[in-house]
Amino acid sequence: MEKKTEMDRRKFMKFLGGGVAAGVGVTLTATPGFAKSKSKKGQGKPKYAMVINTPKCIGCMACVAACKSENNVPLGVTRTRVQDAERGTYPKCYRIFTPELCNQCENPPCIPVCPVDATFRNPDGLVVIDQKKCISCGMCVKSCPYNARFINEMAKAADKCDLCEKRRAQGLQPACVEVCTTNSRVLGKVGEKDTQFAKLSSRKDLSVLKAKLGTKPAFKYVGL
Amino acid sequence: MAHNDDFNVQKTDLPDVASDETVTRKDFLKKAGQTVLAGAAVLAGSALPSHVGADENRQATKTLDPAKTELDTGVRNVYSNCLGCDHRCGIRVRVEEGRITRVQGNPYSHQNMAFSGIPYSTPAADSLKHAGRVCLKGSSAAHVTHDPYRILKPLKRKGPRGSDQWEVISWEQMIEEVVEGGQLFKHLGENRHIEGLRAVRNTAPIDPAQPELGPKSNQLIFANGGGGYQQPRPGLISRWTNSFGSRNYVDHTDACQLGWYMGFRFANDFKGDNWRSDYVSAKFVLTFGITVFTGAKPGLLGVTSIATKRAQDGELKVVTVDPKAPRSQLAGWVPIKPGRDLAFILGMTRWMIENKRYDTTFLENPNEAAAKKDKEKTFCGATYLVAPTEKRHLKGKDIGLKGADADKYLVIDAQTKEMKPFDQVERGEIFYTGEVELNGKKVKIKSGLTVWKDLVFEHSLDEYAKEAEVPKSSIIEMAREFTSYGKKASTDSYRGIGNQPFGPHIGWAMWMMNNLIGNLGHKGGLLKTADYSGYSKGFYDLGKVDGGPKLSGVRLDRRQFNYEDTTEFKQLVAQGKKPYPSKLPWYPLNMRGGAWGEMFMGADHQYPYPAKVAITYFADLVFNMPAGTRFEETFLDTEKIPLHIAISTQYGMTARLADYIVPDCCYLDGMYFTIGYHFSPIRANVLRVPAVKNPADGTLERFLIDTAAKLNMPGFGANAIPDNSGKKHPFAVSEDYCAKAYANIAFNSKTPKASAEEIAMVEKNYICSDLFKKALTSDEWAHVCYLLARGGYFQTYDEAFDENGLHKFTPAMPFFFYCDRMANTRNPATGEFWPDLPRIDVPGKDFFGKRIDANEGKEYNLYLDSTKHPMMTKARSQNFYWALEILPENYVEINVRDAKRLGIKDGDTVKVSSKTLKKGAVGKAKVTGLVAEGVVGIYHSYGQRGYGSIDVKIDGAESAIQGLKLGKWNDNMFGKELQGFIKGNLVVKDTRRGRGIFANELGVTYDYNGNRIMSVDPTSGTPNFYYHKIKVEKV
Repeated sequence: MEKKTEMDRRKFMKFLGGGVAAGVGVTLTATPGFAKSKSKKGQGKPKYAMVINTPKCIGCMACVAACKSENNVPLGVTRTRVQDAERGTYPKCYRIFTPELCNQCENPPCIPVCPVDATFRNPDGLVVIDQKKCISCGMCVKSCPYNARFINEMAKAADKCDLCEKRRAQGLQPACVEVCTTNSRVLGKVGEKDTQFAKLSSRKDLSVLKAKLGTKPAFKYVGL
Repeated sequence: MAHNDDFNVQKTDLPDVASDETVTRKDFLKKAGQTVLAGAAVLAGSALPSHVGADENRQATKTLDPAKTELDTGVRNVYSNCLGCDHRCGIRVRVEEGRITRVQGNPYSHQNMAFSGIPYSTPAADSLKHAGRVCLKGSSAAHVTHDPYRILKPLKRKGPRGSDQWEVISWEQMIEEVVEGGQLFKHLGENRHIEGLRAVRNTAPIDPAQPELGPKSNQLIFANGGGGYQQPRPGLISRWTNSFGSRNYVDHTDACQLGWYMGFRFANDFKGDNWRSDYVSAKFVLTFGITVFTGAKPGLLGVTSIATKRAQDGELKVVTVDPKAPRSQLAGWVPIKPGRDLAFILGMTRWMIENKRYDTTFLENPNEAAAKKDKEKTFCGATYLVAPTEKRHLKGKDIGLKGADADKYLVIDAQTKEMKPFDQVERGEIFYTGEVELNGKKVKIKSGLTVWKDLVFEHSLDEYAKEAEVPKSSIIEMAREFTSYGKKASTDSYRGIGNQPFGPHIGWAMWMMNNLIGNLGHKGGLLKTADYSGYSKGFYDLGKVDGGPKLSGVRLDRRQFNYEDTTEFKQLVAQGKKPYPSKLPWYPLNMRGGAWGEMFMGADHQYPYPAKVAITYFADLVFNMPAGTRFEETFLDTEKIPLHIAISTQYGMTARLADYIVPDCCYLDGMYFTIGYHFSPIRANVLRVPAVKNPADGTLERFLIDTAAKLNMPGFGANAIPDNSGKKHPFAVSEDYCAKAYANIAFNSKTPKASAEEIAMVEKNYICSDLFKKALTSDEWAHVCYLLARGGYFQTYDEAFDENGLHKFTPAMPFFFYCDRMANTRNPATGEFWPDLPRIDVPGKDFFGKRIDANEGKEYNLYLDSTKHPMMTKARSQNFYWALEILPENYVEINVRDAKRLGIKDGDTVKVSSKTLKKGAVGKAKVTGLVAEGVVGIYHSYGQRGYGSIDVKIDGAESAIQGLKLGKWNDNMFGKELQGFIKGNLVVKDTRRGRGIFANELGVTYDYNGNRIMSVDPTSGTPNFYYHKIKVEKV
């Protein structure tokens, strides 16, 4: 593992066009940009997805805190957030809260830009990060149009939602799903029948965030 | 229980992930300790720190584990009770190496599980596979417990009061000084002699000429801010004040919901309160001054889960009548200005009566027996005869009835048309007007419902709509909806409706709408909060204290006593002087709860007597009360408060003004809790136990026990607690009492003994086990373990109802359309009687009948609505770091139309000022359609000057303040900003805490007979939270 990462690192430096720019943050000016990427690398379909029932969300932020504590996410960065917006004309105004997290794109911008293949699609089709491989170059962070990634300075690696991989392995729910006051976040297996997830997934009025970008998020929203 | 299926966590079909990774990751944790962290980005912006780049020297295999899960080895899971706010949810606390890593909801606790928790008999080990919900506040327990600014040692001030200079002293020195008094601050140049607890504990009268003031020991005043009914602590404090001989124990009910309670009390002859909507089965709920989607009681979890689900599924309709929009698009909204809801309610009521949309059968029942025959839980005063000119109900003696019948209410029998005592009639006339002869004169009499009908018919619907500034169509629509679901409709409300001038009158009017549709005690209607298994009796008698002094005298907050009964009043009358207005108001009608604001107003004016020692526990009235900064003047004056002892884990705005600060435990390291949820239709005891060790050198209980020992006060120390056989047990540590309280709960709940496996689990995971076992027999301990292993005792929603769908915990307690006692109580300012009915012109007025709008003048032309954010809990939120990074400061929410008029754009810097705070406060405008026109919203909890937001000097700061004790997790939990925040004797503030506008500072104060007092509901002394006028200007 150690050796492979070292090789990957060298490959990456070459990719930068130098091999001399040791430890300098020049990569950030490269702005790789998901839209320009022609690469089909990393395309695939996750076996698990979430439907987010936004009309139910009351913006209590319980999910944010549960995620931060469960995953030791430092202050200042987050794996999930809830956007607060307002619609309508007074007095017919109402709130709309939109929970956001890694969308598990079928066409993810983050995989092709990773110079060391630290971001990849796992056997369940989920886009995940191997933090041991990650060289914290920040390319994936920049490439994500959903602002779902960040550099975890404690890990010195890119970080994002992994749907609480460890909890799921033990048969437990991801922290944000389990804690959601109003059950707005519904996780399920793609194609499953007769569950709340299946019911929500079959709705015709679902939408995804930033559909025009062609990233094809597997996570869908009700009521956006 | 139907409808809750999709809240059940689905355990099947979850993705398999490679688990070998989690094994290899463990090595890393040992190496990762010294990672250098750089500046954090803000949550909303880019998540990429500016310096980050490819790091050639980076060591591979660095990764970071998530916290250990509840199923991992090496963690302790402890069922406990939350105090992130006072909703009392059940929690499961996960502890790893002394650090609280995660808080989850207790799956046994129905409040955390959308009313369908796991069966109570589920073995505790299996419960770990389930989790309930918990909100951000509850999740922040680690920040509360491990807060670097937490006070751990007794502190004595080392400069003038309020100068933020302190020194650490020993516990023993602190106890000695506060008990014995003396020239305690001579070294600071203060030559005054301070009376300690021993000197104040004196049975001699304060003033022999005014015997009603009681003994000198009343000059000890004790304010409990930590939850008025967070038992057993309030009970322990009053055990101590009773034993001391002071009547001046108050809780903070006035800062919470006193005005709301008083509305019930006006309705039911001061007998009870706490009825709430049944969101589990209701079809329509109309809320006033509350939205359950914002975190109002019973909390984000209590009913929000079920309400949103049912609303989205079309089973429940919720409409909120409030100055602020509900935090859910699933609820409708009728925007309204403060105080105008009364006109809205009276308009609705008029339409209901006009269109006969009421439950005649329910209203005609004059007594419980008649109600029972109709499968009703309760009855009401619709048929009871009232003599309005006499300001009271008619009684048996008025028509010559004798004996037991003399004091009974009278009704007109619907069949015979005879006037009879209420309990001798099956059906009464609900509409009746007639005459009787009283003391030789003809007096008009009316049935209760006729009194009400005449009241609501005083104005037309158009007039009500005009006064409410709401379209008439809205009033009619709501009245029609409210009366379209039988008994499965109700109004819900809380402090928003009550805590304003004449809020209790508004509340009363609102409860009577429920009475008209007869929804009380019905599934889906209005239910009284359920009780809990008692903790004071069972195996042990925890209430009994022999040998204490006799309590007497009026309270410093002047409640439950008529001004007209004082010596002062009688002397003024005897001297031929005008007795009104009194020097400060008196509140004989406040039968409900503490009025700490009025207690300190009393201390401020040394009326009716001066205070000598003030003890504040978990109390920050300076921050939490409207115009609370008025009390800074009180505390800074050593004549008015000669000795102030603050028992507090934090350096809040009130503790800041103390002479001594006594450290305490936090709620997850030593504070116990014995009773149920704060408003729930179901019965529960949601017990709290410590999850981690208390790092502080002291607790409230230790302070009570040690001072009691010095003063030989009964009820503490050796032989303080009798068991059923009469044998006496010691009360030397908190657990001596609390373990016995839990044993009593087990006794009263008839819980079985825990299995050997569960006992072992409790003993392994619960750090209170050793002390509990010392305080209990092994049999009792086995019963208590059954409770502890499940976090308490929980009944289900279904168990709360009988076979007819009637709520077991809602009593047969009638609501009346006339309130004799209120109608016959005088305004202490004018000597006139209070308005006997909730008339349209009542709200928003001061003691002298002047509307606050007029008092404040035209310049202050907007209403201030300071509410709680769902991530915040009043004065104890500035260490909720996850909330602070989401909302670092509050803002000035201003309606789009007002903003246009004032030329204010979203994001503009604006100045908000009031007549009390002319210099104003500056913040950012948020232009919105989610606040009513004419109203400005500014969240509470921000702008605090204390609680880690100011610099403090403490000799011995390193030991006095908790500091950063989480090792490698410090930066993670608190940010690297705090590295080195203790510099010698200087505790440097955290600039992330206390930002934004301190909204309460804008609150109205006004003149009362030459005294500057805070604005209150004149009838009860409830602080006015929601009727303040301000001005907003662009800077």
